[in-house]
Amino acid sequence: MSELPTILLVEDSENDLLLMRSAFKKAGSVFPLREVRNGEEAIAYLKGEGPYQDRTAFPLPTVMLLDLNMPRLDGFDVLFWVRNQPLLKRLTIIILSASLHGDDVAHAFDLGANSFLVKPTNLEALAAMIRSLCDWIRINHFPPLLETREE
Amino acid sequence: MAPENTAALANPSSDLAAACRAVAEHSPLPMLAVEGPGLIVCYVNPAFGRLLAKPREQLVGHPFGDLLPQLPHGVTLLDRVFLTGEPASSADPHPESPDLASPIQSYIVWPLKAGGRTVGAILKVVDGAGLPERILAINEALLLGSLHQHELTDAAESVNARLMVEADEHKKVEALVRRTQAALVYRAGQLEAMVDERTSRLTAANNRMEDFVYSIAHDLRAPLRAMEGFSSLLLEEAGGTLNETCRGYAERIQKSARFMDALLIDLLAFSCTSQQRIELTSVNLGPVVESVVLRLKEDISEKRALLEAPGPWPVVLAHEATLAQVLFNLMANALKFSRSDRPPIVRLGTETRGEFLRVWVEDDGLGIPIAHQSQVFRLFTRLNGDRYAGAGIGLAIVQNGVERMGGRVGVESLPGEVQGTRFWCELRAVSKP
Repeated sequence: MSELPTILLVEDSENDLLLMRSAFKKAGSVFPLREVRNGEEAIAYLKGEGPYQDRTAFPLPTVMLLDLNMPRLDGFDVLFWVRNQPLLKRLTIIILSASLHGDDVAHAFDLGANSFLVKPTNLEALAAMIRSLCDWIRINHFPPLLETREE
Repeated sequence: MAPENTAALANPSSDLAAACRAVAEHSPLPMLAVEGPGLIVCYVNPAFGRLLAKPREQLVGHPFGDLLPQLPHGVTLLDRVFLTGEPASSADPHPESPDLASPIQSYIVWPLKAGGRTVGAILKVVDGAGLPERILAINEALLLGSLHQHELTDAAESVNARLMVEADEHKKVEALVRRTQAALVYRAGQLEAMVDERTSRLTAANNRMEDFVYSIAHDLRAPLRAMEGFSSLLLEEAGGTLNETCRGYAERIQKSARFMDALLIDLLAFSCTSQQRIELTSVNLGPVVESVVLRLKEDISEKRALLEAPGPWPVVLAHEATLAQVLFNLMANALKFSRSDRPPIVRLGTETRGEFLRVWVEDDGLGIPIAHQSQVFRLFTRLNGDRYAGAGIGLAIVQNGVERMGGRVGVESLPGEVQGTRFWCELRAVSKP
């Protein structure tokens, strides 16, 4: 894959969205970042519906940063939906939660999440976390999103 | 034999009468009964027949005087008994009619009564020709024996009656016990249902509490994140163009947000230690102390603190995560309340106190006035105001955690020039196998 992997951020809070943008900027991220504001939009984006038909402007993401707590379709719903789409099974999903609650971590992994991160309260720490994330994306080898089986 | 008993003889249905008849029938002493003022003999016992050498049929039905003409005093005595209704004996004075030579020497007479009227009499010969002393003695013994027999029967019957009453009582008691048992079983069931209901209510309350805590964590921390983030951005991106006062305001927002976040984290930790199910196991103190020191490494080096924790570290009965939290809070507390003018010295040690092991943490800080020592474990107690960062939750967590592990906590000021404070907690020691 020659192009840089796209990161899709699913976040309903405007504050958090702005802070995440700043954190990506402070972290010096080079990866294209796309944003959607809730679970429905995330699914529409992944399906390529409506405005998201344009895959040049809205490329299929390699990594999805998924907030858990969202109105209507929450993070778990999106996670469940994605893991039931054969075409999306290689999508890396990183849960971004505001806090550690009960069995959330286990539940997320059971549903097929690849990572579980808790948003730090401190912008500095958030930027450090995003920096680590970007470093990992840089060194990680991602498979092609769509299967290229020869049958 | 008492007069009352002779009256009972008139009633043949009575057991006593039957008994007396049997006694008379077998008595070696001659006895006879007469009825009516004519003194007609209505009964003679075999001994009387033998005495007069006549069969019973020749005696019964004849007047007493005809049978024993040589015994005029006997007639007089019988007449008197009829008149007076009182027993009499041949020993009573009888000048007017001395008995002639007779096979009967001495005798006694009792009245037989029916409906308060004398209807007959019994005469018993107690001495006479051919009545050896021995027979008299046997007679008395037999009489007494039969009386005793009767008394025994009476006693047995009354005992039997009492036993029956007791059996009845027993049955009643048994029924009562059965009813009580049934009531107890029912009550136990009720109590169990109550316990179940309360448990489920408590569980529900606990779940609500957890939801509440979660919403605090999530809902309050989200705006805090924004306050901290945007004040940081403001300072970073426009700090240079702000005047000092405005920069100070932005810094205050940033600091307050960070402080409030620390407070929320502590509160969450407190709520976790309060809600966690704690199961006690043998915990080796050594690795716990090590992990706590590791977690405080940054803090220790930042303050250039000197940590003295030489051990030994025995085994205690504790919940490992709770114990780690307790020690972490105690040591963080010791580091926090150090003097600003010199690197703090924090000492950590143990000592055995009976069944307990005391773990203590000492600082060389400002010390706590004795008057305030009892307050330090209370939630949100801060003795030093703004001078030291802290939410006043750390020591409350310590107390809560230690008490839930069956231990206790305390604080004392160190004497002399050290002026520091020693916090301690005691947990049950586990003797080494």
